[in-house]
Amino acid sequence: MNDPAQARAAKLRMGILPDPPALFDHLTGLEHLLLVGGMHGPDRHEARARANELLARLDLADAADQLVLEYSHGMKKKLGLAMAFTDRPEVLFLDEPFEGVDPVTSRVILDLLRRFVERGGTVFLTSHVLEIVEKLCTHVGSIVQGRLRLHASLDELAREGRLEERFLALSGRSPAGSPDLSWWTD
Amino acid sequence: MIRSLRMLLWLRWRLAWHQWRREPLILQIVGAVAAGAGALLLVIGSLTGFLAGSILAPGMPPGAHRLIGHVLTAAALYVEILDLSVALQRGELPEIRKLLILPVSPGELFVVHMLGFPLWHTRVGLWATSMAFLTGPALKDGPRWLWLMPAVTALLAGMGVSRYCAHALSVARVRNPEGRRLLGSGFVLLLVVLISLAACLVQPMPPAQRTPGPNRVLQADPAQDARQQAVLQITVWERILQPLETWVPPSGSAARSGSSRKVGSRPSSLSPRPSLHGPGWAGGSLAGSPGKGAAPRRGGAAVSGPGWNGVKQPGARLVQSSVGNCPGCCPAQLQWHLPRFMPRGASRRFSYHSPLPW
Repeated sequence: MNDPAQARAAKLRMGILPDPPALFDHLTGLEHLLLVGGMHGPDRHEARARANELLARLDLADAADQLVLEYSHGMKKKLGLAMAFTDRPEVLFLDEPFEGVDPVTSRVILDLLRRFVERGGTVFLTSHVLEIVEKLCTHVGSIVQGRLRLHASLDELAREGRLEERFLALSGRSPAGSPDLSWWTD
Repeated sequence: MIRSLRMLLWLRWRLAWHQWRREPLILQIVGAVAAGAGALLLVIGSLTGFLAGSILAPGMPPGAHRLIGHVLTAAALYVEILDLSVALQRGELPEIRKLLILPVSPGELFVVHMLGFPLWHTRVGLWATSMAFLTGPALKDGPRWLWLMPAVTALLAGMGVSRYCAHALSVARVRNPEGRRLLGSGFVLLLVVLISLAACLVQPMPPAQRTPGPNRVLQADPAQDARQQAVLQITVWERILQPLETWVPPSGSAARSGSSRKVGSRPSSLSPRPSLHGPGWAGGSLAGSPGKGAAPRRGGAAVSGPGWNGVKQPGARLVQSSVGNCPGCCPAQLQWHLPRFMPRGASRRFSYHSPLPW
């Protein structure tokens, strides 16, 4: 990946949603998708058609021509996800994709991700909400204090208990038995 | 790659357009005028530069070339300062962090980032003007002028990169917007001081004289240069600096000159200002080196005498300046000598040749 050409070729096969999403305040939602579409290859008309379809699917069609600085946090998240889906990526890197997203959109994103995986795609997803991870993922890696401390399939982990308990054991911190706040005591 | 660059330029255009639309009316007008002026500079500057370079430059003295070079450098500095100031106060630039998720190379990102600054077209206009100006002498006087083209390009690019680094540093390290402005301004001021010092200390071209002929070539002539320097020293000494000189301690001065008087003051026994071509002038030195056949008379023909530049004169003035005609080089010349900061016997002349007839 040190070679710029290789890095460029690799990026063409990826969809990336950083946290916070890499959006420009003074660009509209539609223009973001046109920018990514133009970079990834489809011609202008194809890029515009894909952008409109994605905006409609993620319930952003009404805000397509609004500047991103007028978007809410959830709308920005959805737009970032739409940018990741603009082309036909083989791998998706999603950082906290469900954070700040309303339940309806969350369901839409979930469906999109499932279909993407069914088509043979791979999703790397980071989340602090372990229930979502248990619900979505097939393999789990736990990073504790910057180090990968656990890497296993969810089936293997299921035999040893819940993911949350395993993670707490790995981190060495257990909230069980923590005392009440001092001003709650009578 | 072409596609990526095209899309990044489109991004830059859309960002600028939306920002412009959201600004108050007065700023919209100012922005439109600035953009128009930049576009005009690109076209008119290139044309004017080419015409001036091809018609005027071959007949100009070297001093005029230096002056034009310094003016262009100053203009480039001004653009950089203005650009950074505007960039630090404006809303949004195409941040590299946001572009990293796109399939673009670092080189493309750099180009787009440079073009993302508000006055990029002014910078391009300056470059185009400089190149056009240099094209004229290159066509008339030969390809030896061509080396200046990459030099000027490197200078302008260096300034742009410096400003780019200043901006990147301020954005990455300083979160406080006020602190960013201060840091950026301080860096630019430092840049201005350094480049100004360099422009003062370094003579871009050697003292030269012109030889007639269709293919006129600029040739350096150290002997004539020394004669010119001597005449200039004497001229300004007589006309300007003599009344301003400070006293020399009698012990050092008197021992050498035989009388107690102001440093460099012109003794009454001196003859009037000597001729440029007079004997003893060709080898004359202003550097304070021991005079070769010249009497140690300050302010007169003995410019090569010991102590002339003050190296051996405790209490002498720090600065000796000279203004006068500069035959063969340019109409006038201004010089600064900083004797106290020089080692004994060394010659460090900081001169600026100006075509202005004063």
